[in-house]
Amino acid sequence: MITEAREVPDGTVVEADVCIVGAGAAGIAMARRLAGEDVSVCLLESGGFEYDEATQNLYKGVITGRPYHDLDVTRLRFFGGTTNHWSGWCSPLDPIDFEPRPYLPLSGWRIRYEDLDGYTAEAADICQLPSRSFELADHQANLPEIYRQPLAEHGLSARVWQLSPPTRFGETYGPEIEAAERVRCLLGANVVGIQMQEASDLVDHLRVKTLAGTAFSVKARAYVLAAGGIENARLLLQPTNGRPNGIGNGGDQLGRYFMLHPMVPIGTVMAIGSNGGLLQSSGEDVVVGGLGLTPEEQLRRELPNHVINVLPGRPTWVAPAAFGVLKRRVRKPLEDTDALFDDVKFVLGDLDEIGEYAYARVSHRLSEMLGDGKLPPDLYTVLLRMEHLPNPDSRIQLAAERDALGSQRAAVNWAFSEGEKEGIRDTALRFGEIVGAMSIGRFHLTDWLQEKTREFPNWIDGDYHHMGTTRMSDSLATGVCDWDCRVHDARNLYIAGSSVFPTGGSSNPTLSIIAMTLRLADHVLDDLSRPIGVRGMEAFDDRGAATAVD
Amino acid sequence: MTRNFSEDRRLILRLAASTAIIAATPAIWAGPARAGGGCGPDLASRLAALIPHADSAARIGGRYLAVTPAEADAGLLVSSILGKQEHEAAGDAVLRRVVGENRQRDFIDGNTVSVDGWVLSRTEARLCALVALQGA
Repeated sequence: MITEAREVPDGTVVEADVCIVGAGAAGIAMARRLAGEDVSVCLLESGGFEYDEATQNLYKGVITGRPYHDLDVTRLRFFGGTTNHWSGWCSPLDPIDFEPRPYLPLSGWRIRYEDLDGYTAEAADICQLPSRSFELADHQANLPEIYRQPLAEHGLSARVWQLSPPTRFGETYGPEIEAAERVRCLLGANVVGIQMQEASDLVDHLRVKTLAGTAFSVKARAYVLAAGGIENARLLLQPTNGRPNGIGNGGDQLGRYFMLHPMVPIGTVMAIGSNGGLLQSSGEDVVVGGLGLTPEEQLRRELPNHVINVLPGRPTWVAPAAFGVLKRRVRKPLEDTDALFDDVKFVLGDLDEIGEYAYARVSHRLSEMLGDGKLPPDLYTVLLRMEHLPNPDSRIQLAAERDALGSQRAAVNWAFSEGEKEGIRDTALRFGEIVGAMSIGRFHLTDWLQEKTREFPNWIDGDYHHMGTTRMSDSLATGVCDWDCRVHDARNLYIAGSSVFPTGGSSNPTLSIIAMTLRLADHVLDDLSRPIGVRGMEAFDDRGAATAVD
Repeated sequence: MTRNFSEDRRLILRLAASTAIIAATPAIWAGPARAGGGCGPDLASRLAALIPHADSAARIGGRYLAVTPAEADAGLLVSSILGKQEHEAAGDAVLRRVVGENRQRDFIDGNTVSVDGWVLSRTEARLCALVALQGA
């Protein structure tokens, strides 16, 4: 059932077994999962079925660090959430993303890659992907020739993205929510406070307001915040009874470690070697490939798990509209590959590395060879999607400004960590060496990485993948929630979404968000089946397996 | 590990038109090339001749030498390119094969240099440097 929150009489106490805050990918996945169980669900969504300026305005915030997008353009605040403008790229996290890496502080999940296998397969169905498998062997036919090479011999690994239609969760799953007898979805319901029971580590109720001016509360046995990587932290940071610094903030970790997946240009491949055609795409658009260094190479070189995408054509860089001062770059090539370009090409040709592909290019015969009149490009743009490192100074805080409902807005200080640029440069240079070793051609390192400064230029853009602000951890000293996504100091409060990711890898997070949400649903159901006094009393052994504490 | 040579742009700019600079400083560049550093000058010439686009090679080589002046010695470059093995009697096809193998090995081992951002094998950069010296 889906109804308007403004129709709930002022002062009402809405009761349910589980209250979910946010009807985006995570919230809807959670509600669908619980709908099949013997529990009642109250799903609170700030927006309605369509975009609304006044509601979207609640997302506005303040940027205090390096340039970043206006916050109200990074998310969508209506039923279906940000899936309403989702591009649909899906790839699971890599096994190494879960591993502790001594050179990356705060790395290592106490969840193993295998623990998410079944959930990831289910998430693939929810995202309407062509296949549950992300194994390269199952997708090679739809990827460029390079993905059929023995990549591991060269220190490369492949990543497979499948493209969702993309699934608009509101449109696709709205009818199910509407039909679910035990799910009550309230549109236009904005949580403005989390009220704790007095002298307790249990949430008592949520305070809810509508833009129509009404207010009510929701009282549940379990609460799940699924409002997004910034909003989850913002909700928890709001002062509440007995917790002036918010909930889950006993270790001053809440809101910290704000991470994204910046996509940065790292260079150009001039394809000229005997394998120069390997990068040419073979066509289907339902699958996209990415390249990275193998886990062994990463560990040996102490590098994060960056992933590289190679696109045909000369690199250009479109500066985000928000960075108007840089607009002149929009019309300019990103880098000066012309310098020495012909010289390198001629020298390689002379040294016989030139193969049939490049020879045909030089002699303008390739179009005849291919028979389609089209020449594959000899330049490829190389982009790197970062594994952004957790940095305590990259954080969400509460701004002094308040929104229309009286809640303090979010203040975002997005920051890079020391050494991140070097990690990108080292990854890029190793990739360049592999391009040479595979006789594909030569790699040109982009200008900003040639500069030996440690700072990132301001035109480097962040994406919309907000992660890390309510990270999972062993205790409040290093995070906000436990490895079952239960807030450390609020045993009936759970968090869904990428805000719980302790590290973010470089895979688009939606698929993993849904997989983790399905896993969380099982924990919530398990907790609800037990007396409240023993919830959240597990410890984790060295391998990350939960063990009950007597 | 790749060395980035573009950082010393001031020096590179001074040598931007490398062939012209090289031609203007024969005492610095040509001396070692003629001396051969212990190898036959013929071998250096034959290696340099593997790249008919000498102007292109010289521009790359000039940039390489600008930041590695200690390698401005033809004999040293020849032995670095070919290794210690005796190649005086080898034919051009053998030289080409050895250069190719060493270039490949460089990329695998990470023995590369970044010349104006281009990631090149150390061997091919040195070969270009040899061409630059030969043209001086």
